[in-house]
Amino acid sequence: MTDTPLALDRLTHLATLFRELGNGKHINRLSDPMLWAELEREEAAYRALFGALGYDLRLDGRGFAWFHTEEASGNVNKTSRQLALLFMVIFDTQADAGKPLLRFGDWAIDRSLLNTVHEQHQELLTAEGLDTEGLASLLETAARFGFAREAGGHWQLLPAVCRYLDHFEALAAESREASDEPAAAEDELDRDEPTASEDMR
Amino acid sequence: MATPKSLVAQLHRHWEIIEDLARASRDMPAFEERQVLAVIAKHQPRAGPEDHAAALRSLCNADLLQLLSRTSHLQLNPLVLEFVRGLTREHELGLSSVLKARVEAIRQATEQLREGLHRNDSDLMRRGAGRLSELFRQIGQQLDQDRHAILELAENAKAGDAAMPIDRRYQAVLEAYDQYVEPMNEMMDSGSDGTFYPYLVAAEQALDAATEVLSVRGALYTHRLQLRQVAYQAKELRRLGRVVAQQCADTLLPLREEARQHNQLSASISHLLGRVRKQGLARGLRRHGAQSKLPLWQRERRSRIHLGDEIRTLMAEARDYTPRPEAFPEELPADPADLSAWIDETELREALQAALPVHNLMTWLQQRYPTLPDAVVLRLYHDLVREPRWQAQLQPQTTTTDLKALRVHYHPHQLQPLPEDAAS
Repeated sequence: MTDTPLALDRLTHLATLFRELGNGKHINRLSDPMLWAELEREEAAYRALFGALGYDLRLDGRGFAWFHTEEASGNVNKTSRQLALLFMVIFDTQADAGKPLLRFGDWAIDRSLLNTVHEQHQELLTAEGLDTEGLASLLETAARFGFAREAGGHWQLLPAVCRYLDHFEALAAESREASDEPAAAEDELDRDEPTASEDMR
Repeated sequence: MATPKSLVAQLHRHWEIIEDLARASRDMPAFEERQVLAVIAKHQPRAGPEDHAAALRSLCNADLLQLLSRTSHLQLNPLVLEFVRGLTREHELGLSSVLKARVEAIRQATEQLREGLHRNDSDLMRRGAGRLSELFRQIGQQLDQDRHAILELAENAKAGDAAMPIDRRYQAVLEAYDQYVEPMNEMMDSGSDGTFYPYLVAAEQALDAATEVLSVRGALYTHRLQLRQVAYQAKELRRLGRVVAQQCADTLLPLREEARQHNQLSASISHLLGRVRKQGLARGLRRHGAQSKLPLWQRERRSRIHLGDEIRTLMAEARDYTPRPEAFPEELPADPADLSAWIDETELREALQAALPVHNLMTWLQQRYPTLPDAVVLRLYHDLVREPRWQAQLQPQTTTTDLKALRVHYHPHQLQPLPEDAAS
């Protein structure tokens, strides 16, 4: 850490930022431009201050910040898992409709879209005990943690959702790598088979 | 075949019509007569049908419009079409192989120039330089046209209906990238694989050498000047090539990335959804590697400061504090839990069921069991109103009932049989 003293008077939004971030919320450039601007401007100071308090402030260049942790309580884990499912089904539905996925900020997520999402993933969502209402309340949860916001009668996804998208890609890549080896083994088996049938003949 | 002068004159007179037809030629290679007449009528709204027909005739006579062989359809003169497209920047993307062939031809022309230099044949040298100049001009023109064609492709893709499936929206972009930008990048590669820059450099060197030889030999100034101008052209083309390749890639790459990312992301999500379907949410999203942890965030640690017990002891000692003894209260008399000593509850419930509807449960209890102590009556009252065998309704008006030792003010409960019991 540098020896320069922290100019606390420059951190005009310190209290708000600390409260919001401490509540588990993601600060988005899009929805909290003032907070984001200050966070970006005084990044070093905030990082040092929050770091000294035991918080790991992370800023992502795509326009969002949060208090990072590797170990979270069971509650956060559960919420995060449910949000992951929510985003997966929304993105899958939109991909089926051919919408550009990386422009998720432009989607207006309303009841009719949630109904479509529910129809398309009924089996999966029922297994998790989620109906359209459940999806809507999950979106409210997402809004509480800064992944979405309500705007003009519908929800809008915020850049922080990128954390989930990154996660999905990493998870899928990992799972594909893991499944490559058994597939290679199956190939071996396939190749053996004709020899066996030839023997039989 | 009309004379060039009359063709140009008619082009000047009917520019708007020709411009319109040139734009329409992208979708329709040839037009019916009535379509052309409709275009003419659009631009000459005040003229009558005879004037429109006359305009059409003059366009045909000036060879701006040509009859397609074997049909009565009309097409724009290809020369005119090319010219108008060039002026209005409405070019289609050229073929990268044409560009490649022209770049290849630079090598041959350079060899011709070297041959002339070697054989001391100034005529051959001039011919080689002339060919190079013509090639540079053609390549430059094509690069410029392609640049505009690519910009237009990108604009169309971006401006397309956002609801249109992404594959269809970016189809042209993806094709242009694979069929044009990739081969062009290969050709423009400044490394050993590229052809464009090495050929251009070789041509420049040959031109410089030729200029030098000519000036040593004391050749005509005009010859030297011609060679020097071609060398300038080569330098300019090198710059243009770099700019155009960069611009094309910059324009198309983000769009291509977007389409590609879309595919990759949607494939990943489908894959994960499949896993969740088979294994459930918790297992489907479980990580195997350290990199793939669910996004987590820290929630507030409610950090409050409390004084430790040690401090309390210290303070107590300092102030010589003696805690006041606090006696625990005596055990309270037990609730009259054992109702069976007073009453047979099963019998009571059956009696009550038979007596339904009961207007006021309290008075009913009091009248039926006058000997019960107050506490038992109240306990029974509370138990019975919660019983699911009947429907208890709280009355809006308050009542006062005197029990043995107590007077109770309350909203009485009215008990009614359940709807299905009432029906049966």
